[in-house]
Parts: sequence; structure tokens; C-alpha cells
Amino acid sequence: MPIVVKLDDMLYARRMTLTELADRVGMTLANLSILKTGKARAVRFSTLEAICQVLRCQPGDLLQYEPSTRARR
Amino acid sequence: MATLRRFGRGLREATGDTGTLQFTRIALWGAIGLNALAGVATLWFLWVTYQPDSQISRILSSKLRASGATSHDSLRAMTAFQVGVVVIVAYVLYTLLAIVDSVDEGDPFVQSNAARLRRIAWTIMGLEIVRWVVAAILRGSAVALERPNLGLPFSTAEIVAVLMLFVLARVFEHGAQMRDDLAGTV
Repeated sequence: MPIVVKLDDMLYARRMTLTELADRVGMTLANLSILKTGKARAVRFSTLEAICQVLRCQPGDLLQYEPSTRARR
Repeated sequence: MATLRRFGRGLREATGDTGTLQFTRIALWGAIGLNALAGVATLWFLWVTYQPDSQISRILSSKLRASGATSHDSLRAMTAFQVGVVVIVAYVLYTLLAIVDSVDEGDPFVQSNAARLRRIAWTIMGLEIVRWVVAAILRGSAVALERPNLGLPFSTAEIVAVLMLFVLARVFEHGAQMRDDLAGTV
């Protein structure tokens, strides 16, 4: 998918595990894993807001557009 | 008053989602059973037409002669066709049952249900076309198919049913896509 999720990098930068992030944003680990592994088809603004608030980052730090990556549909 | 309230509650439960589903499942199994019985009866009747010395065959022959038909062949052809219809109806009913089961499981909007509805629509449409052709071929036979007397060679109700099935298949397809999108939304 051309939209690449850089959640791993932000989690590493903030020294946080996925489980901790899931607890703090109020999401299930399963859903967050879907996002982290790039399998998500859409992200709600509310989810993006919650993650950015906890990781103290911008949406652009989490999402990047790489047109060379093949779209998975 | 309490009796009326209980009756009303019972009626709401019976016609609510769960009640309708249960009723539909029972009705489908009933239809499958009746269809199976019809199949057995049709096969027996087909066998009878090949027993020229049997009482029933002699009665049939006299009735056919009275109606102007010349042989058992048209009757056999019709009966053989009816066996095919029974098989096709069984397929349609079992496919419908699978759709009802998926609703019961809470996940009806899947591509497989859209495909099932589309197959049912094509099956019924094919069955109608074959029935018109057979009816045209067997016109004049004592056992020719009876059509509603609308002055048309086909039934509008069946055409509407087929169209409705195609539309429903598209609705389910769209629903399945929306469900997939929702499943992948975080």
C-alpha cells in the first residue's frame, strides 16, 4: 500500500511498546497491530488524534506516502 | 389486559429478527422436504410411464387419447423435465438456507452471499426460459404447463423476482465491500 505507517519508529523513539500504546489510547492490541503492520484500510481521525497525543507527534510522523510501494487490495 | 400484553409481546418476538429467521429456516426445511417428496413422486411417475401394462399406464393412455395426444413421449419428456426442476429447486433452497445461516451467525454481508444470490437469480431465470421452451414444444399435450391467463407467455411475478434477486445480490456485494472496509478501519 502506498501509505506506509511508521508507528514502529515512533514507538522506538518514545521507548514505548505497542501494548502500552494500546492501553493509553484505548484501542485493542489487535486493532493497533492491524495499523502497525500496514493492513489497515482506513484510519479514523479520532484514532490518529489519540495516537499523536500519546506519542507527542504529528500525523506526518506516523504516515508517509510512498508511491513505489504496491497497493494491497 | 395482561393477556393482551403477553400476546403482543409474543407477536413482537415472533415477527422480530430472531422470530423471522427461525420461521424462515423452518419454512425452508419444510419446502426442502416437500420438494424431496415431489421428486420421489415424479421419479415414480416417470417409472410408471415405462410400464405399459400397469393399470395407471392404461388410465393415462386413455386420458391422453381423449385429449388428442398421440403418445406417452410428451408425458415422459415433461416428467423428466420435472425431475430436473426438483433438483434445481433443491439447489436453490439449500443455497437460501446457507444465506439464512450466515445471517444467524451475524455476518451476512460477505461476498459469498452476493454470489449465492446471483446464482439463484441466474438459476431461476434459466429455469423460466427452459420452461417457456418446453411449454412451447409440448403445446397441445394434455399435460402442458398451465400459465396464468394474462395474455402473456410468461409470468410478470417471476420476472420481478429474478430482477429483485439481481438487485439484492448487488446490495449484498456492496454491503460486503463496506463491511471489509469497516473491518480494516482503526
